[in-house]
Amino acid sequence: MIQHRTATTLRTLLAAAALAAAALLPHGAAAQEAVPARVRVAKATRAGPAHLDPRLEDVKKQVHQLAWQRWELVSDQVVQLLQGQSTFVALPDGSHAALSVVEARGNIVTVEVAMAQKNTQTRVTVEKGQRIVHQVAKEKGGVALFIVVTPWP
Amino acid sequence: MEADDLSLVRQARAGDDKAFQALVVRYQRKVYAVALGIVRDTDTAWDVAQEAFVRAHGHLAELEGEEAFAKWLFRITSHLSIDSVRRERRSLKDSMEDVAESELNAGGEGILSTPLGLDPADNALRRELAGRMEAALSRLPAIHREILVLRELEGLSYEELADRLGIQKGTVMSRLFHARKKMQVLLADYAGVPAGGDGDGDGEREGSEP
Amino acid sequence: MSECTGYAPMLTARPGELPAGDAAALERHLDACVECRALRTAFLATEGLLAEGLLAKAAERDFAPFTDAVMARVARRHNRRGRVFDWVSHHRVRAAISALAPAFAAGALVVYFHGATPDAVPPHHLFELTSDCGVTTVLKTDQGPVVLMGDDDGDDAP
Repeated sequence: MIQHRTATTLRTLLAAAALAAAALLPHGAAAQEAVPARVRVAKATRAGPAHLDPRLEDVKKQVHQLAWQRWELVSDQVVQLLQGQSTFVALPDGSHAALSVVEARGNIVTVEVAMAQKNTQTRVTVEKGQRIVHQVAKEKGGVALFIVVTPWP
Repeated sequence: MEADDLSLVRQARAGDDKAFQALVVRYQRKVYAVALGIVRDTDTAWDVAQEAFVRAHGHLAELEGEEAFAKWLFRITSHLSIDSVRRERRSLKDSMEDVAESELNAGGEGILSTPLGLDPADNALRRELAGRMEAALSRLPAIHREILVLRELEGLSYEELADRLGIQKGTVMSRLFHARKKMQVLLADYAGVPAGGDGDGDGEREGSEP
Repeated sequence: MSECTGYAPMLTARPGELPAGDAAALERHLDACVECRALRTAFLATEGLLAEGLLAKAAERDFAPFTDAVMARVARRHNRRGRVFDWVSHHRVRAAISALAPAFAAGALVVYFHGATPDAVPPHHLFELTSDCGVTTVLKTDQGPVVLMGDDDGDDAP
């Protein structure tokens, strides 16, 4: 009788633990979720008259305080950012930025931006309506590269 | 914002898995690159890289206070990589630690006789050569691969290489020379790279040695 | 030329790695020997390229699942699940008490959903950076963060 009770208890314990784990672990809820994101690559230049590509108008407030005066759009695409799998974005200097979702909950997402050749990984959390502006190439000759990630565009 | 290795190690030792994961994220690609350089097979390198972190996790308590986590981790990685290679094949005896006259003459002129510099126009050339060097690595004997990878990726000094590989400093120097010379011979296949770079990639030699 | 075999292993030395006497002797030899000078120039030209090539190769690989795979291996290595089974089968009284676990789990579900609404998470509360790029600057704005890479020369200023 005691052994039967123990077996029953064990099954109940494991079932409850599995239920609790599935609810408590954020990865469990977001594992299959893809977060659409608009990904733009921009070239920023110090020299020349101030100019912001009209397609970058929404990042004006984020970049106006920086030293780079001219902002030109290099590429623009909408991708699905996944958890546990990187989406690679080509950069003009031949390298790649690897984007993935670390965690997504409601309207808040943590995105990892990795540039492997520079051994740099950044994880940053934003909410819907915000953008991540991330430099992806060091400045050379007054020119720098940035990536703009807009979740749920 | 950015925790240093020491504080992450302390947290990880106390059982904080997230701290250890941050260390993994920080060093995963470089660890993989070191393993790849030595074992050459991508799947084996992936496996060795993961195992290096697992070993590190299991022996965090043994990390001496003053020793840098990164250096210790790369030491684990290189040992696992070298062990993996030696399990796969018999180790090659390097009976030619002394440099022979023929070694100096092999490979013709120094093809890349001018430093590439940081001219943005040479970025494409630089990437091409970096890719060729990585590919050429496969054609080197294991002991030359090991020492080149440790020297170039980890930046180890002669003394550190001697300590890591358990050989004399003189052997380090000559083995490195052999490795780099062999690499130059392999890169000589990339004929026609002119001094100062060939922007249009047509293989035409332009200019001469400075 | 026969001198060259003695100096050849020194050609891979970095500044400061050779004793002063050897370094001076090497420089004198290089002043006189075109072949060795060309060889050292060739070595210098390819310095760092192998690392770049290997890191570029690493960049082709998707590392998103790597950390989870490592932690899964760590867990298997520690054999946690086996210990749980052993514990339950050998401690029947404690196992009976643990029948309360479902109630606790249900309670935890309630606490979780009530206590951690998305609105409770500040938008910039999480920022983690690992980088070999030197000092990195993060500017926080209402529109979202701006992450700037460091420069070794220190001549970049936002």
